[in-house]
Amino acid sequence: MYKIGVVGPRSQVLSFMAAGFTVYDASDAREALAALKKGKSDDCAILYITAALAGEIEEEIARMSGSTLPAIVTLPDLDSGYGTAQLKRAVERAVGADIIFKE
Amino acid sequence: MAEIKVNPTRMELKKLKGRLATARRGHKLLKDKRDELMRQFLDVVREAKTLREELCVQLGSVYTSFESAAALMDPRMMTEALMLPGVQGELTVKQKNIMSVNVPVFQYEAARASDTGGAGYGYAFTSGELDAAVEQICAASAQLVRLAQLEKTATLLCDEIEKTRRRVNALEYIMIPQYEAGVKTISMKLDENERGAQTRLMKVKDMMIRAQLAQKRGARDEDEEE
Repeated sequence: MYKIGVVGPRSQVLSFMAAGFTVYDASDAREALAALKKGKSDDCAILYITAALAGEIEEEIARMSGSTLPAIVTLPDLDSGYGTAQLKRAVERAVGADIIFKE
Repeated sequence: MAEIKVNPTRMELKKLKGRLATARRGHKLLKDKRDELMRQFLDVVREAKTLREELCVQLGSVYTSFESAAALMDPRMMTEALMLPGVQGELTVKQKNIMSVNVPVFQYEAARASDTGGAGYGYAFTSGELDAAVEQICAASAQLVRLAQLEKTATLLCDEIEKTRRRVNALEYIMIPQYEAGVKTISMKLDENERGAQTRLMKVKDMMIRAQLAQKRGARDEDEEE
């Protein structure tokens, strides 16, 4: 059975403990990267990461996302819109122009 | 564009024609693959977009409730309360093949682990906001897993679309024109050789006929002299 991990500052991700997710405390880019690697070795199939940290280690996440597992996903939040921007970039890369997110 | 250098022989022509046919067939197949990947990708992205927007709102209220609870409670008490979750989710992973791209399929089943009626902690030393946050996050977890699946699928499909598009373009604009140019060069060269050979034969025949005529004329002149 696989686990679900959440990477981020303790204060932000502690609530996910209640849903049975494994919480990895990370407050900067270096810690986040270490937490992602730990999550991967802990058999986490899904690793959620807060938008702020995901923005800091974008390249490393891109490198890790080549394989089928784990799925590294930005946690949805209203403020940054980082996850939506990532999706938008994927559409631009695949299609050549943004045809879904344009206003 | 660099042309491919080949010997102008029938053997090479046959080989090149074979390669051209394969390249054309591959190009058609890859173009179909790209179109289908694109269709699936757009469906996935549309769904992921809607789901993310919904989850943004849901998790926004979770964060607010949780922050209020954190302000009211002692952080150690809070960690202790959340240490043993009331819900134990079971995540199984399968794989699905979309146009030869392996994408994960997550199945998540949440099961209540405690008998306390849900939260997994005592209500005496915890605030009501925490209960609300926990309830909401448990309700959103299945959707979060679905979002992870969709976004992972979108990323993998995006990479594959990029690769396939490059292959299609390489075949369409480099390989196929090169092969066509090669076939054209060889067939022109072969035609040229054939024409050359025919002209040479005609010339030789002409010379032979002339020589025969001259011989006959020479023999007739000798007869007349006698």
